[in-house]
Amino acid sequence: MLRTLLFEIEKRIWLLVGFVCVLIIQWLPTPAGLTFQGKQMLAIVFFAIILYVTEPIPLPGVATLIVVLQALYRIETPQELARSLMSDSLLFIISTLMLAAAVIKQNLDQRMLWFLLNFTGPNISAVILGFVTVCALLTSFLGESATASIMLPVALVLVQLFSERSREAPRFSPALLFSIACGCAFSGFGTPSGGARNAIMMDYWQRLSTVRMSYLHWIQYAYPLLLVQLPLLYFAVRSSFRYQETDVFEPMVLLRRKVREMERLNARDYLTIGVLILTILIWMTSSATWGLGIPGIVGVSLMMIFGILDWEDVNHRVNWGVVMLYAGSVSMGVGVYISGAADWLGAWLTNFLARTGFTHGTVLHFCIGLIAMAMSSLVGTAGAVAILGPVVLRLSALTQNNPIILGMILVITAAAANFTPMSSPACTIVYGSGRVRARDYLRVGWKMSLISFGLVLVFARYIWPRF
Amino acid sequence: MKLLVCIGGEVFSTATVRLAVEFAARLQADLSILYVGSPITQFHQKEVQLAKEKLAQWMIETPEMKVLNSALDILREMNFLKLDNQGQLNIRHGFKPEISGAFEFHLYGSLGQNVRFRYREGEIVDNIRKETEQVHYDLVFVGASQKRRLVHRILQFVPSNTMMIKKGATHPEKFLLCVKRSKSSRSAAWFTIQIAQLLSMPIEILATTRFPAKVARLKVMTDRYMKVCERYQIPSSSYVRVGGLEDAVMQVATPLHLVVMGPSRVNELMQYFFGSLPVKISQKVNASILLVKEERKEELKNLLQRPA
Repeated sequence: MLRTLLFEIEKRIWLLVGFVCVLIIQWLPTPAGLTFQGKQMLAIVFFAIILYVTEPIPLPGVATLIVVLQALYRIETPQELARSLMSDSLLFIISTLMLAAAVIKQNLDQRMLWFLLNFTGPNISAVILGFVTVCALLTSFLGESATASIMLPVALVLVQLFSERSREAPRFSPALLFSIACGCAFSGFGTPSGGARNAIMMDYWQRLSTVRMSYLHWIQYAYPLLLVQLPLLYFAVRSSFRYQETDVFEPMVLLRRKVREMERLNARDYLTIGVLILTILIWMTSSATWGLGIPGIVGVSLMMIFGILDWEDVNHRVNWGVVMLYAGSVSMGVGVYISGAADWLGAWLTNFLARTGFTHGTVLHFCIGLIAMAMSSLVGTAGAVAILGPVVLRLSALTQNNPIILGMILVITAAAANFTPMSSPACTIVYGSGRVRARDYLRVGWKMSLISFGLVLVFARYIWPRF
Repeated sequence: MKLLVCIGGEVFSTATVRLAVEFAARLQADLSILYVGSPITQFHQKEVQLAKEKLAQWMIETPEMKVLNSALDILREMNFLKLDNQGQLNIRHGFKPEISGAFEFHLYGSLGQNVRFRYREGEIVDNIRKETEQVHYDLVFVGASQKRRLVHRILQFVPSNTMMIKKGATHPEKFLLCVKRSKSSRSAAWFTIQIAQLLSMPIEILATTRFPAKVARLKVMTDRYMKVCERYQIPSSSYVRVGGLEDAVMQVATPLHLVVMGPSRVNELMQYFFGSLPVKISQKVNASILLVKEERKEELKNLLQRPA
């Protein structure tokens, strides 16, 4: 009995540490300029960060605790709290996860490899460039985990076919696998459906500022950056691994034979592609009127009507725990804003920057990017945007900066901190194949992060102010 | 009987698996091989699982499959598995998710025993506990870790009888049974006698006291144990030493011994912070340790009281 109790306490020790921290912050005097509720909200944020990092309880449990603490501290009324949990952006996140589940379910991957190789030809460097490009473009619409799940087997089949021929593991294999990890992890900002962080930021713009951002408007901002980043990502991967220039002609022949043996694309495959394209078109053309959640749900409903997706698939393939966590995080972000904590943090940051005379321009952007990267290394990209979003919006109001530019910097730099296998779903998926080493993530990651960070600063300084 | 062998890391201790297979063959026991993969953050767990399912569809070997396949090769090499007329394995079911919370591959042993290959992800002690909560295992085999804290946690928190296999002591030939006047000690002795009879291994009985005046009483006790061993046709010998158990075991134990002990009588909380005797002995002695935790009522007490 005591043994079990000790074990369970040891397992949840960080939960206890979190509660102790909440009590200590509660007990500390409230700093000048911060409201009492703001201080309580900061205690909740600190508590959530501890739980995000150490994971002593299941993730949905963290979301529920955030809500419970907000209710106990009366940050919002129960009705407002319930409302803050569900929004258009959360509906949008749920629908994109469901659509991605439908795409993963169809076996389009072998054909995709065949088309890709037909397009790039057998030269391995061209194949790697092809992988980076396809991963980046697919991720920007489908999200990184779905893309990595589709592309990883594709790459491993190529490696396997090559090994069967040469009887040794090909040297290009890490470069090929990192082309997937990096192509996916650094490109989710292309469209709002590329990642939950994008939807969370859009939600904050809508709720906490006057900015109204449509799907197409986002693409206008982010896609040029994505396209410029693509060749640089390829060069970063290429320069991080040494391999002899070789061709994959024979694997291509073997693959062609395999693909010919497979059934042709059936009606269900065509329908999946059709519904997906239709949904993206509705997002692009009508998101200003319909929002993002409803068109997504239309796509999901069509998939269910056509029998492409059933509830079992959705249950099996969608990470509902993370969806709940996003809901809790957004609710926490709203709490940070309305409790006055965002005001205080924004003012503190403004004062700090004003002392050095940098409340505008690249230094401000650099600071936001750096904080976003540090926070996302701790709590993940969506968590970082959820926590920092309201503060950045407040900062933009105080320093009279464009909230869209600061928001975009936050979103893109938060996604650029990929130095370990656990830093993003795509990196973890590729690492799970057991064919790459953990230390390679740092070797490639720092170059990628530097490229992504540098490009964001250039775009924020010279390109985005023109929109 | 049901045995569980737990392996971790890409390069696992093949000696631990071999010893467990040897025991399972001689005891005709069901054998489960549990591979605990490194933990994945909950944020990406589902996605990684889906990607692995995708890899399985393409018949691409994942790291955990690789580890379990090498364990399977050991079992095949030791003729532990049942083969049909064509020399194929007798499989109950292939690698399936969500069988009592783990991925499982189930086949049959050469004597019809159940052989399970199970895969879980996460913290090792937590997963062994989950496994033992679902199925009652008579013995859990674990390779001794270099990390003192992990050894401590395994010995304290795994509720089943645990055998910790040391790197240089993978072929025990005799038991070194540490006894004292307690219920847990009698349970340990009873368990040892049962398996020693099946394994045809001799037992050396070790009793210690800090007071020289008690040596005679301990001698009587060890004689009684020896008589019970005799009744079960198990060769036995005994030692009575003055001093601490830790020092006595260090003097007597060799890599050929399997040191058997009952659980520590010290309060769990004290054990948690300051360790226990089994933990200290497992750290210092170059012999494998069997910690018998399950109390077998008073079966041996009756035997000890009955005149030989």
